[in-house]
Amino acid sequence: MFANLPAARPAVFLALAAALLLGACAERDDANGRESSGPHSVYTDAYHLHYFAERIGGDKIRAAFPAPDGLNPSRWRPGDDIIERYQNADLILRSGASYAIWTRFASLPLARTHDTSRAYADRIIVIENAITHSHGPDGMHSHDGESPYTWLDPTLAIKQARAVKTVLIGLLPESEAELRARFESLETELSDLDREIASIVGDRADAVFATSHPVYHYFVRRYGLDAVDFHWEPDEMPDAEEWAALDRLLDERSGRIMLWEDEVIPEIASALGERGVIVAVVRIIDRRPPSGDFMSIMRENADSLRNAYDTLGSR
Amino acid sequence: MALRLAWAYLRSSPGRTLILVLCIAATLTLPIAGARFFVVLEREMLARADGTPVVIGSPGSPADLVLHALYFAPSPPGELPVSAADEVRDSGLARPVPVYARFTAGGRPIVGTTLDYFDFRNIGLDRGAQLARLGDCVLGWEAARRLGVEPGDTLASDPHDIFDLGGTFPIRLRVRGVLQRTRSPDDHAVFVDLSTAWIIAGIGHGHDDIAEIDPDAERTDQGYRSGAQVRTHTMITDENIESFHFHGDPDTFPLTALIAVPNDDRARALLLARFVSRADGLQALRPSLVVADLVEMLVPVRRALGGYSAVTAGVALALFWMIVALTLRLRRSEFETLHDLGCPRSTTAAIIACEIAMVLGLGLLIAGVVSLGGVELSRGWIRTMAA
Repeated sequence: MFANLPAARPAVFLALAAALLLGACAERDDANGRESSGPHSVYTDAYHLHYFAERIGGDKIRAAFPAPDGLNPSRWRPGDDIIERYQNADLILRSGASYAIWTRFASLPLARTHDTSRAYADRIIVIENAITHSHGPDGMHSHDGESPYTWLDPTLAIKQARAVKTVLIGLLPESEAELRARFESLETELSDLDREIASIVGDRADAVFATSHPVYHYFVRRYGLDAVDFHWEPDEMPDAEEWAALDRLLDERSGRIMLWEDEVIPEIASALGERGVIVAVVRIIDRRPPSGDFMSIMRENADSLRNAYDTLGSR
Repeated sequence: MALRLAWAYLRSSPGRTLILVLCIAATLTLPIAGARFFVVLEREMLARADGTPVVIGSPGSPADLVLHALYFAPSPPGELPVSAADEVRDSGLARPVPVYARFTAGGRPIVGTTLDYFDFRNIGLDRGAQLARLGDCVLGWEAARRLGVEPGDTLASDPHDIFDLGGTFPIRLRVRGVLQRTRSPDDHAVFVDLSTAWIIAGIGHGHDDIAEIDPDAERTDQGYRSGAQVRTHTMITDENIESFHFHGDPDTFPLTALIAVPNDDRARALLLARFVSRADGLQALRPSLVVADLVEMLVPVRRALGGYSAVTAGVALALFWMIVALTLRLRRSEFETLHDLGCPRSTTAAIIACEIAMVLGLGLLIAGVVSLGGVELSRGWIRTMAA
């Protein structure tokens, strides 16, 4: 029929394509307006889960992690419009272990929300009587209660990724084989990383004597480290009292490696250097990195730790 | 011809005809309305039950549990722990839809649930937005109309025990939206997030930060010891939301009922089997069967009404026949004149039959319109009655 309308044919095709596209976009599956077309939407409350979902789900899903880059996702408070986006997602993956505080107050659908930490609920570390403190614009807070940074223990990260795989298979049963294969690839990488860090630490677990912030509980436990937590920020010079506390600890311990969340400012680096303390940057990867991804930053963490151990060994 | 003469006769005595028609209508209205009422009542009761595959709850009366889950009956049965919802979900057999409905706002039941309830009942929004956070509520269409509230307004929960001086304060809820009209008990309810319902129940609360208002407060193993006056928040706002917290083991927080939506018939059978002879006594019920039993209880009432209607109709028809017989006797001379004019007896019989049929027909028509129309107009009330 289009043969009779040669001039109009492209326009007709375009119109048809647009109509199909709009129709597909506008397709709704229930009274509450969730879209049924296109890849399934998977929202997460933590960056590492976003990474796991993307790695395992690939192009079968549309993973979203709407926390703004500049804010701490665990203390970020999404507006009603963002919560509505979560509510309309096909799947909501929670990191659990009290990570994203906002999820305690938001109305989320039970059937589509999954706490991916349930597989290791008995391994969650609870901190009691933590100090209330503040740094930057986040206001006062304490690290009381469940320690949320479970993914820094690669074995727990594997369990969490497995939970992601399980719920994604429930969502996409027709793609089970593909999802399993993708998970196994991620599992292999995390297992290799775990073995690598374990080999770096080896029998020198006491080399790490301190952490700059109480965020390494799972990392410390996994590799048998015996580190004391401070409440220092890499870009804020600690006061004299805090340095005195560090000095007292240095008198007690033989270890000289201190874990930091980021590169420290030169003043801190200099003061630490004077005391013979070696900085190992182990990023907690709680937000989308400016470059790289979860796995590449985890490898950088391992590299930083190896460098610190090598430096210590060369003394 | 007979029809025209019968109609002319009835029109010639409108008062008498009207009385006869009204007598017939009044006699037939009750049985027709009664029969229709029970049909509608049963249908309404079964429709809601049929749309609710499985209800799980505490041990006790199955009828109480099912009626509470379906209609938010004000006296809920016992409670079950919210961990039962996790158990159902983890089984992979069904989708859990929790219900915690113990309190009221403006006399309307407050139903604590999750967004799954709206998916399950397929209820969208008429206006406003869905529940977003703690302290939000969305209203059923009728509840919003009766309470005169709109999105953006606030609505206070009713005090649940005025004699409990140490009890919880009413919470002022933020009205986020109004649901589409469903012509079901959902139209009359106020829906909140399960956590909000637990706050109304006093399981959770928000108050001033003691460490902030009294820096000298002594920290103990149990918390803080301070003489400072600590204000409990009665409305959840963006500013104080993070001060809200719960006490106790979250797995033990209560539900009054748990609706389960099985994946298929096999999953339903397996789910029901899991709740047989449990140590915690929890029971899983098929509402359609429980409500069918309740409907069965209506049968004697229905029979009694039918018997009464039959007796009334019999008496009325006898009275009607007596009136007709007396009228015929009074009209004997009229019929004889017709015969003298050459009208066959069969025609006069046809005229009388037409008159009787018209009176009965008109009476039946009025009874039908009044009873069926009345029942249709009373559907809302019948639904309430079903609840």
